[in-house]
Amino acid sequence: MAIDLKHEQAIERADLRQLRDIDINDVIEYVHEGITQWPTSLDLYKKYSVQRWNVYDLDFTQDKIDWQTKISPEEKEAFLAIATGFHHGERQVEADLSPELLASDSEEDKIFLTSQLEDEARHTIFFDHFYREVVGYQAPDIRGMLDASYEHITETFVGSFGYLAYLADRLLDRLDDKHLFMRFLTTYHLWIEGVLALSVMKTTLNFCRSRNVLPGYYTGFNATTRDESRHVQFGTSVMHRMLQQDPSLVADIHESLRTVLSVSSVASTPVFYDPIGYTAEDIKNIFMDQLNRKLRAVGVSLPPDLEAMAKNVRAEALAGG
Amino acid sequence: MAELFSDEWLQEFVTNANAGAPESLKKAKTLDYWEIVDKMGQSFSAPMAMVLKADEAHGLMEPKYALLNFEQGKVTEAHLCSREEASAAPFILQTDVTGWKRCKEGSMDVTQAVMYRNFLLTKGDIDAFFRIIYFFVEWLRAGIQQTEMSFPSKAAA
Ligand SMILES: [Fe+2]
Ligand SMILES: [Fe+2]
Repeated sequence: MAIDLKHEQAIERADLRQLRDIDINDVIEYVHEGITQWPTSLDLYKKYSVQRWNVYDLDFTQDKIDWQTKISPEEKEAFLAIATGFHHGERQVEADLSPELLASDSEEDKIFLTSQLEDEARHTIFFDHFYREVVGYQAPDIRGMLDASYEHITETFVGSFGYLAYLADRLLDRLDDKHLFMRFLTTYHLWIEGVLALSVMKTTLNFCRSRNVLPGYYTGFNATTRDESRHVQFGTSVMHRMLQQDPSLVADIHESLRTVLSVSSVASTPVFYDPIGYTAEDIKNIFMDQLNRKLRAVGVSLPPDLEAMAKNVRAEALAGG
Repeated sequence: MAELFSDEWLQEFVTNANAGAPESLKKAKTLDYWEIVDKMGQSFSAPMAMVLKADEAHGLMEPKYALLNFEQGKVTEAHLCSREEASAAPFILQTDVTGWKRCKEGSMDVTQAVMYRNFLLTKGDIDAFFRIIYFFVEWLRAGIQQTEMSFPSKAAA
């Protein structure tokens, strides 16, 4: 489902106020439009300069009223099971990105990554404000708020995000190791940003749009999704470029996927998406679609064992990308 | 109450971790999950060193080392050891006082301690480790929850 040029340009240039009216499904399509055009890192940096938004401009006044009066306990539970994954997911990708900046050997890539670092920090602040001002949690600082919302995170979260933290740590030690670098890129940009995040992002956003609630959250998270489009376009294009130079790196893409997929076939606690209008089957279909599109873009196919593992993924294990 | 990384603590901890999650905790998660945890555990047989990082703020001037021998997900032997002995193990899990303390108090979950690197695998294949990560998380959690422990502190040092 491609979007037309008019829509694409509207998304491209929208400010925060306009993003409030833009359909999340179009923003997700916009991610893929960009990938097939292989923008350079400086093109993406230029986009960042135009698309950067101010998290302090968001107004959560109406969100707070909606949360207290229009959203049922079941809806809140389903909503928080997903939103909290993003609260912590944004923190993890913010805290673990800098080794990539150090390991990168292109000046242009390094420049782009400084913008991504700033994006991820802003996304973390966005969720901090949402939990503070709308959900009503109290904490003295950023870490305290993360600790407060952690009760909504399930075990399976550590599979992908713990792996990323450990990869980041190893990469810091071996900045010249191209194989390790490819594993990091696969886990960070392809899997976490390109597949996990984009598979569940639209669930809470479509809920807000169809119920006409939480305008501050919708605006900020829609803007976040547009930021993620640059990150995913950047990451997949670096992977594509590296693979052209050294096709043997495909083994590292497969190994990382083997690791994350092997811990994504089980749910420690059931997550019910139904109250916000989705079934586990819907989520799985979106997941398969996102995975296949990213792999095609990078130019990689899956061997049969990974194909089978991908089909076995549980929707609950994706909540929180 | 035995202090973290003392001989007595290590034996108690290992016994409790081997015993697995208490019933109350088991009920809170799906059967499928526990089945996978068991299967992951059974696939792991290797020595693993655990290191407690030096932490001046807690009065711990030198790191401490323990060596644990895993056979199919159960520790069959464990002892405190030297730095050299720990370094030779194929897997090294580095830990810090803050991680143990916060997990014991319940102000941080074991999964969080992994993501924040309070518990960090500094040696060994991280792909192999993460393919059985739920086993390690539950093994550590069972040990932490069921073992009374005290922590090094500046006052005691
Ligand atoms: Fe982000
Ligand atoms: Fe991102």
